[in-house]
Amino acid sequence: MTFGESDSPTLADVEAVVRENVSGHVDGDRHEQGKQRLLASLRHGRPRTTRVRRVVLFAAVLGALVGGGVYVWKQRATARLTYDVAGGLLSDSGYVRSSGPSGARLSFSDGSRVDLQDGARARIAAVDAHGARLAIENGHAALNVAHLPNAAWYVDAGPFVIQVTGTQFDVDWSSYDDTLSVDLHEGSLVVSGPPAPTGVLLRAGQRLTAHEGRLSIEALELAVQVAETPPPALDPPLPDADPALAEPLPAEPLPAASSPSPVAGF
Amino acid sequence: MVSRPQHIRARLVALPSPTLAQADDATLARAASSGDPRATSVLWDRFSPLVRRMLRRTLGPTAEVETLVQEVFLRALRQLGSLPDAAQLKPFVVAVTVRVLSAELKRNRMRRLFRLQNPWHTADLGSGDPAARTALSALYRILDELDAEARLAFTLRHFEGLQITELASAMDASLWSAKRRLARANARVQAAVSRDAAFSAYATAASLGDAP
Repeated sequence: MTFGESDSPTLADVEAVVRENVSGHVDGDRHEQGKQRLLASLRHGRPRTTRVRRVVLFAAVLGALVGGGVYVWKQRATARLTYDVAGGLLSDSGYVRSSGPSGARLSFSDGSRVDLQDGARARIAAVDAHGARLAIENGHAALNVAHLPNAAWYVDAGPFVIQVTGTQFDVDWSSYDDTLSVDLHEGSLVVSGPPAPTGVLLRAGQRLTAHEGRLSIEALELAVQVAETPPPALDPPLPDADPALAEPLPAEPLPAASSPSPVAGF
Repeated sequence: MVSRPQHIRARLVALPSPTLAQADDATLARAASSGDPRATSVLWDRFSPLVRRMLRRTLGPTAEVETLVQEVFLRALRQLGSLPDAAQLKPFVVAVTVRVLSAELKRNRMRRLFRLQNPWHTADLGSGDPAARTALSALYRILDELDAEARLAFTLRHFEGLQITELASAMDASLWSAKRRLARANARVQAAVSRDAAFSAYATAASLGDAP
């Protein structure tokens, strides 16, 4: 063995220690075993190499993840919304009424909320994966509907149907004098009923009032100001419907309320 | 014509062929690529010591390389048909071995990162000389610090004696790139072995004739 003559080892020393101590030799039996193993692999089909196994494993894991994701997504997409009631009573038939002066709150699993004022009565007519159908029997309700893809909410108030996709609004329905009032704070919605069978589009900042077969839409701020001024001695008639604001929609029949649930197609 | 039973034929094809055993690389490559099992047998006899040696010297003498030797031959036999010049059989086998080594070195590096592989231990080394075992242990600890490409360049050049052009070809790299990898590896290994007391002691003893 010849190593470098200097004090510190050189690369020649490195070469020498490896070349002299590490060979590729194996005894005859092991050599023959290796050969037979190779020939057997070729005869019986080559075993999958590590790379192929890794690719297959990766594909399997990826497939499982994608499949799991699709399953969870489908489950979430088709699962009915859930809800609970705070401050109110809920009967088996979906009838809700407040149990205290602060009113009742309906909280849905998609983040939507419905606040029923004290004395208000409502019924959850149906619930599905994309929304619910709520019937206001009497009183005031403030709705905050989560703006989600495919959201479909309906509010029935007497003969009127309010179609909602995601918005914030107040509904007041008086079953005593058949008066509907809708204050829209955000988004848009469609109200249909006897005065507007094909539906009227309401935009943010507008108030819709329907009474005695007449329907009117006015700016919400103006309506609030009017409401704050002292009432005149005589009961004034409701303002006529503003044709510029009341936009008739193409005739597209709204689905009827279905009870009991589910609300197939609304 | 009476056909032979399959099991008899399987035994016959495993026998080495005297003609092929003496054939040159080009003839052997053509026979092996045509699926002749006798050529496979001769190919194993001719190249498995080289492949095993390259694997051991690059990965370390304690590495379990038999599975990798099989992988090299299976890959080589699968790709032999695409070899443009059958006479270049040996460089081709070397190049396939380098590819298998490269992948294994990267895997080993990941295993070390996650502490799935034991560090070098002198008791594991096969050499009979305890001083040589200590030196080898120190050396492969140093090589473990190199990235796969630098380590391959170093081992192929210094342990297998490949010229720089052969090295570049085997690593499928440009000449400039191969030189750069080798220079980087040389500098790091030289610095590390100089600092390593065990390796220095062994080298000094060997230069004085103490080591076997």
